[in-house]
Amino acid sequence: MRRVAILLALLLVSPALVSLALVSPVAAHSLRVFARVEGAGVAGYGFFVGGGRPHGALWRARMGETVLATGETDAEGAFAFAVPRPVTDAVTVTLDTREGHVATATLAAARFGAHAAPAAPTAPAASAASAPAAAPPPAPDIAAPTAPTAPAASAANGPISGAAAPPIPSPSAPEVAALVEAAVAREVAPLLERIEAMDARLRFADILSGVFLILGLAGMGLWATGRRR
Amino acid sequence: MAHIPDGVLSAPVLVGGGVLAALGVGWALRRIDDRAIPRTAILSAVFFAGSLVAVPVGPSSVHLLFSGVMGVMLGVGIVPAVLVALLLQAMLFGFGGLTTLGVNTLDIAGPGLVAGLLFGPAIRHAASAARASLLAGIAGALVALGTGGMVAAALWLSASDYVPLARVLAATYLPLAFAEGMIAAVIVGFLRKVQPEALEPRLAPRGA
Repeated sequence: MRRVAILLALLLVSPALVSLALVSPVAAHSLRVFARVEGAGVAGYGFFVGGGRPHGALWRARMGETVLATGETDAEGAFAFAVPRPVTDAVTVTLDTREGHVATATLAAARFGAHAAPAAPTAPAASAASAPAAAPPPAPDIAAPTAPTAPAASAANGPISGAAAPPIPSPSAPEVAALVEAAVAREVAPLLERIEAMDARLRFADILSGVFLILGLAGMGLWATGRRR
Repeated sequence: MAHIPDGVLSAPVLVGGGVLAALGVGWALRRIDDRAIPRTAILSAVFFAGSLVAVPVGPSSVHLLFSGVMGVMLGVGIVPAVLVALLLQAMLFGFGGLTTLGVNTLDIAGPGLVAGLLFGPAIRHAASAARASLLAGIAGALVALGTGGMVAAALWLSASDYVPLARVLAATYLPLAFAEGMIAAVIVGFLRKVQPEALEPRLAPRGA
């Protein structure tokens, strides 16, 4: 009878542990890597499912077989590196905490979008843009959508200064593409981060199914030993 | 930590770990009887849920293993208990991997089994609950360090790029060993007072 009592007590222990896993900020134990394309490079961080970042972990970035960069993560578990053009193969980042945790994230070559190809010469559609147009894409905080609608003829020189001035030189197609890509990347980044975190979340249903699968196995074991006699 | 992912270890280490774990499971299944099954399952469930709970410690993150307690309470039954829990953790949460299942089982159950065999009799026959508790604490701490050592050895034997650094291992496993020892001491001390038979692995006699 006492044995039954202790089994019951232990039965109560496991749901308690389960709820602990759900309620407290600490949770699962597993290393994951979050990486995203940022401008001409890749930035991201490692995280443990449920909390904690690996500081001082070794990271290594590869494109196919060639090593692009290596380093150690900072106090936030973050890393960043530039990716040379053209991007010919998927870029992988491997994190190693040097105590047995290893995790990898892969960015397909397609993720690098227009950046993947070497910068094409100016598209024919653009009105003969002068020196400033050859500069790298301007900072993304300019109100990009207004630019293409402006009358292109006047070709004001000097940097594109946003504001309300109507005569803005229309940027070339690759520039627009770069601007749009930068804006989309900036908007999507928090979503990607959230998806990665949700992916790595522990789900109550999963934990419960694990516990009950184990108990079910015990039942099957008991049935099998009972049948043998 | 004790969940080594796929693609890190070399084939001989994976096969060796798998074979040893299979032998352990075979040995356990021959000796397990219907009195031992519920207890094995419940401790397996405790390990399954408990080792999902991780706390950030220093540069890394650790979780409890309960393998010292399991070794004392289950004897060789610890091997299937750990195997089943790890299999479910790999399938449901992607912790560890399917190819490394054998090695991971060995890393966790091996030290627990050894501790159960070495410390178990002394814990059961200890004069007082405090003494049993102390012995269990020592066993629990040693088991955590043993697991750390075995994980490091598995990576080192694979001659992989991921051989752990002693400095990082120590920073991770010493706090874990302390916590593991405390937990084992509390659980065993409590069981010794209220249910001393629980500390006896109820296995069928050899060959039964």
